Amino acid sequence: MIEYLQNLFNHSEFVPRPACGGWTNGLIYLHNGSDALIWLSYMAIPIILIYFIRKHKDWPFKHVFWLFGAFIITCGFTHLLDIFTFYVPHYRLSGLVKLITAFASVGTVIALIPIIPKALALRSPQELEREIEQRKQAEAETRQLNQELEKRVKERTAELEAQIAERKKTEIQLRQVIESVPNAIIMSNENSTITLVNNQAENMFGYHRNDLIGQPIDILVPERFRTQHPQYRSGFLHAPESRAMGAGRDLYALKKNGAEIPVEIGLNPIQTDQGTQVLSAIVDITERKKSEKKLEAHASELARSNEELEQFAYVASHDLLEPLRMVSSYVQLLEQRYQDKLDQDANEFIHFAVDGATRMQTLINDLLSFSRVSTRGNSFQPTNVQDVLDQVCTDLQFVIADHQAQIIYKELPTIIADKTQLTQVFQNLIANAIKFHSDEQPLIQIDAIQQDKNWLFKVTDNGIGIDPKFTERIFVIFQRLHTRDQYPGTGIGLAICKKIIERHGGHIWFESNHSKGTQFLFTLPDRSEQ
Amino acid sequence: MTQSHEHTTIEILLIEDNLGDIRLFQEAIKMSTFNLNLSIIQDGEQALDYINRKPPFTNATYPDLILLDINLPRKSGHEVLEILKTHPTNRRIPVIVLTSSQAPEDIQTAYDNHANCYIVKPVQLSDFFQVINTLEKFWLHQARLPTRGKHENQN
Repeated sequence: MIEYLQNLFNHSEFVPRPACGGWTNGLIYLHNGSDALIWLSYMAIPIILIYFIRKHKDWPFKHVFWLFGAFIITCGFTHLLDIFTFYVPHYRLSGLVKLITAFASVGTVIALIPIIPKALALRSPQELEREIEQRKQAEAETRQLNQELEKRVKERTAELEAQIAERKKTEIQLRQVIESVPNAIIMSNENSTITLVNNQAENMFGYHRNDLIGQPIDILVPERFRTQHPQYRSGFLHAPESRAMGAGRDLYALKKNGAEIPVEIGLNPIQTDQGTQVLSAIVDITERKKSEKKLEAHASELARSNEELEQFAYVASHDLLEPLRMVSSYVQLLEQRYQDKLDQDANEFIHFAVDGATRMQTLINDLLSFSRVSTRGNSFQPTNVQDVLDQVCTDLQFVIADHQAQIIYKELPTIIADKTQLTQVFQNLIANAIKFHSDEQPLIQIDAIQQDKNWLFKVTDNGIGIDPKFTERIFVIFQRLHTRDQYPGTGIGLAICKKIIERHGGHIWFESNHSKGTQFLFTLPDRSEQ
Repeated sequence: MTQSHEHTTIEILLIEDNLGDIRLFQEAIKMSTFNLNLSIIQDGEQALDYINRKPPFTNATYPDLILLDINLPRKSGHEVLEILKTHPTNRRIPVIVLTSSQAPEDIQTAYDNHANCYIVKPVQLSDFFQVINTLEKFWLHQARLPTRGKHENQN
């Protein structure tokens, strides 16, 4: 080998090629020119490859490129040496270079074999392009989706914002409502801690809301009620429903300055995330209490003066009878004793005096009966109206017989009333019906109709009727529609009826078809349920 | 004419404070055919003293019939009636309540206290005279009166 290397550049035993055979210049140029071109190209290819690899640093199988490079360069050199050996026969050197080239070639082949499957796995540019295209499409789709999504998010956000704004508006409105209601409003949670206070509550109790929120509600309850209060509160929370607090009890609230005010409290349970809260609407009823007291005082004063007046009317009319009787009696005594000794005028005067006194007595008696309706009324008892009418017909039997009147009634109910007074009502109405009869035979019918809360009674006659324009007047005491010559009477009967019916809580009126008779109607409350 | 009152004197006690009524009553019995002796007391307490012959009425005549007004000074007719009618012997004397009151309560109370009858003084003079006449006829003629009690008149 050493010998070989020593003789590497020794070409003495070889003859240069042009010296043997028939080399023409053309053939020489063809060989050497081609070899030169191959060498140049083989030198250029690795440069291009290296350039390529340097540009594409992520290109796989770089070492193969290097091997390719080396293999091509060595191949190039064999061609270069072919030109050289053509003129100088260094076949040893040429052989060595060929050997090196052979190694590089084999090495390249060996390196290539395991790469092939991997290289096959690599996608072709078309595939890559297709993939890229797909990716692009997918990307476009994704972008579109994203845009869609973004749009939706924007819309939803706007919607939510609108809702939030709406809620805020509602909340503000609610707050305004809470602040503007005339009642003080306080909300407290299950632990009796105040959670909400409005303006009116601040004013009512004299606290700032910051001094109240977070405080126990008992801060507003007078000390003497504090022991029972928790019990009532738990009772309420146990069965929460909107209702007034302390039915039947007088409620008081404690102000900051220690003063107590009478209040009325409405309780409302409110379900919140923090459990049941109690919304209390509080009204200061100091003024109402005051006016109630005033009203009560007025009412009792009125009742007292009314009673006094009726008592007065009763006593006065009672005591008036006494002297009246004296006037009347003694004028009559004068008349009896001195009739012959007095002239016609005197007799007439005496007659008017006696007549006046007599009428006055009737009036006073009527007044007495009238005031007796309320001052001497009896208690309300179950009263069979059928019995009442039987009694009235007995009392009026002579009048009924005189006028051949026909009184029709049947199946009348039992109601709760003052029997004496009810008798008086029917007696007056029936007596009137007979008194104001028409040319026909008096026919009087009594009916009772059960209504919602009343009994409606009707006394219908076929008498002369009443002009409806007298609706009001007819029930006024001492008001008459006829002269005494036409029909006797003082005009007390219907006034007494009205007073009796009103004492029973009903009312009385009439309906009349002039000339076809009159129908008196009155209601009496149906007390049978009580 | 079943009784012989015409021949004996009938003692009538009028308990009445109104002078006008007293006079009217006197006028009315002037026309009577009976032999009547009318005593007049104007006040409730005195009336009881009179009937019980308490001073100053120790010589009083025991009445056969009492006419009693309700409105009386010191003791009302109702009280006088109640006391009389709860007395063991005085309760026998017929008491006619003669009053101007027509109040149902007065009527009720009077009968509750055992009044023998209740009459409202009529306004008409003729009616008044007629009432007195009727009373005379009934009580002195038709009805029989109890025997005079312990204060029997000596007349």
